[in-house]
Amino acid sequence: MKKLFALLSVAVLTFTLASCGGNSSDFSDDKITIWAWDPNFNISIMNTAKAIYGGDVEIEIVEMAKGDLETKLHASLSAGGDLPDIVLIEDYMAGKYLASYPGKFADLSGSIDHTKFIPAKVAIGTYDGDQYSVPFDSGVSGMFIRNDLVTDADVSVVSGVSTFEEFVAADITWDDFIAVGQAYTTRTGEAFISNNFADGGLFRTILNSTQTWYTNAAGEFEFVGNAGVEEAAKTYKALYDAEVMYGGTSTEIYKEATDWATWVNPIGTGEVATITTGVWISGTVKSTEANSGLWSVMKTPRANITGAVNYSNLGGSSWYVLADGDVDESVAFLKAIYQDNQDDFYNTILVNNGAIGSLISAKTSAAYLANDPFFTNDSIWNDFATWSALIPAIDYGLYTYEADEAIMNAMPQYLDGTKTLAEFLAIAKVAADAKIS
Amino acid sequence: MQSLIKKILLTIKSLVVKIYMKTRAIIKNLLGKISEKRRAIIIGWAFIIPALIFITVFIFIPMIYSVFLVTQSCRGIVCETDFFGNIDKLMGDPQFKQAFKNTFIFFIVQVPIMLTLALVFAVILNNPKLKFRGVFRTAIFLPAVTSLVAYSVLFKMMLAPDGIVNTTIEFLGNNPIGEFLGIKPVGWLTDPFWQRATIVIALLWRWTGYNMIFYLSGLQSIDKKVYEAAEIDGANKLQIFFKITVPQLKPIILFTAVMSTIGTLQLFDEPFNIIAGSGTTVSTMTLSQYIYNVSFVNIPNFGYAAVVAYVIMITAAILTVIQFRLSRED
Repeated sequence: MKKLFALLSVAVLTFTLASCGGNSSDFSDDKITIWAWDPNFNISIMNTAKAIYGGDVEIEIVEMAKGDLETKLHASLSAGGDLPDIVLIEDYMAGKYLASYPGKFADLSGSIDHTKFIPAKVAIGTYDGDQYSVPFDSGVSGMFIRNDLVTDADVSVVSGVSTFEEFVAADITWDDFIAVGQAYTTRTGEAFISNNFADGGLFRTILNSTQTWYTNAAGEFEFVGNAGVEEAAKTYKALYDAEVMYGGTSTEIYKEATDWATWVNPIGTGEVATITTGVWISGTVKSTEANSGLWSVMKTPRANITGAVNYSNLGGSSWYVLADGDVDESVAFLKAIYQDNQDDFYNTILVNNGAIGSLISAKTSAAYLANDPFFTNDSIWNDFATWSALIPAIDYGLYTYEADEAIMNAMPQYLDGTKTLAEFLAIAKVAADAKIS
Repeated sequence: MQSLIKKILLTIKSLVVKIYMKTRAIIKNLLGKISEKRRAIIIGWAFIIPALIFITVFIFIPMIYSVFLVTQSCRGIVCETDFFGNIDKLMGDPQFKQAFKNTFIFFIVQVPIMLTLALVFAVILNNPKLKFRGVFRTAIFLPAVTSLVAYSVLFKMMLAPDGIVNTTIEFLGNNPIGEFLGIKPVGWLTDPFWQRATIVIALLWRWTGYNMIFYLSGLQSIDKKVYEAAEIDGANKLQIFFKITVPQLKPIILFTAVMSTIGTLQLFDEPFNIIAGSGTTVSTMTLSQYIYNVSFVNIPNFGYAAVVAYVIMITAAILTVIQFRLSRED
């Protein structure tokens, strides 16, 4: 019995020590490991890519929630842990990762022909003159609107518009949007838009369309006096305050969301009549098949200031290769699929996932010109492709989410009227500066 | 095939046994030459060393390393030495001040309520005349063993703007009496005040039963004779509670107070799982959550995170000393 115990302890100790000294198994093992988020979009698209590329190389696609992926990537890069060979990084975050982890990402300047991709997209993955990204999807935005719920009478509050068709074709402002929303809610009592007022998604969509960002030319945060930021904040407040009377009680034109699920669920149920966000939402919109033919797509509303356009962007991401992984195999795979468009890959993902890629030559392929019966527009994909080329090019810098969080954290006091616009932006500026100093 | 494996295993086994016997013989031989007292010391150390190695690698080295980290100002893996830069930053950091304030609000509001409730429950459930004691004990203790994420998701669902709690409140408020009393739904997950209330409620729900168990076991050890004597002397229930139960439970109350203090200072799970992602996090961000944000959510700055971690440690130490002083016998 004593001997057995001794044997056991020796075995346990040996095993423990052996596993301590083990190397992380993901590296240089002739298997391409990929980290990404969103099973309906990025993961599904990568699975398509894997199927097209064939069986020569083993490819493992690991799905994680976006926030978890970013946290895990930070931890692994700074402390040395498991890393994939290829990772998806959102455009807003790219600069931060490239600046914070020099040498950890593979320089793809020589191996990928970046002239074949949209220049604004390539610029996001460029750091110190070197290109690190394989540009992926565009976050070109649009306004999805239910043609069966919104009537001619609702939209006729916009000057020069008398029918729904005219409205969809029009270049509207956010003031117009709110006016139509009020008409809609007055008539139906239902919400016109779902919004999470603690989330900066819509804020960034508005901001991008004003051709400004959170920072000034020197890369410092500039909130007070920044026309784009002020206008985006005013739009949030206007949406928040736009109450109308319905059935004797004052009713908001928005449905308040608290997270992704409560924001996205009303799309399928008809609880909201519109959604304004990146084109990547089209997969979710289409996932409720009963709504086929009931959705139309129009340009993004614009902020009511000079320089603002009806084209904007929200999100969008690109693939990055880790320098310590199987670089050659990973690059060969990404190049064949994303640069050389093997087997008309971009056509497939547009049809299946509603993904607008960044490869310039892909926009002439059949699917982009075809009609999608789910949407009443003649060729929405062609529209989105056209709009994506018109998005104001913006240098997001390193600190988009720091600014975003600071503004969203200070926003409630502005929304409930206890702080003025300038006061709240000044508070946010202090908080944002503290995050990066 | 099977016999081959058996053979190999047997060979390995005999080899290991041989090595073991050999080493034992050598050690015995060596120890034989040393005095009895020395031998005891050596054997003692031999038992401690494996644990010591692990503690050194996983606790002591990181602790020493954290002192070095304090002098580093980092952006990811790009670090530069800046001896007091992080401490300077701490002094002027509004987010840190907010996190410190939030943590203290949770501490001051939640710990006393929880410990009082736990004590009251324990005394009630200690009454041998009470029926279904076991059921109640289990029911109150059960939250402490449930999965944190599972209960967070449930709380999140129930407290959503149109969740069951608000729907119920709306139903209750939808009549003249309700309107007169001003019963109306609140933003449990979005309004800064109610966000804090949500966290306090969640913490109470989860940890009251846990502390109650300590008090229950403490109550078992109080001598019944003391109570009998008090009753004979004509003390009422309240007097018995304050003059006998509480003083007798003092060491346990101190223990739970210290543990709850440390637990609250390290509070992370509830604000992270219930509030984060639902609304703005200004009013619920705790120090631990701030460390997490500084390390992994914003651009990683481990040096600064280490400084904030030291603040938690020092605060916990100070509070513990104060609690020990307060409870000291006069």
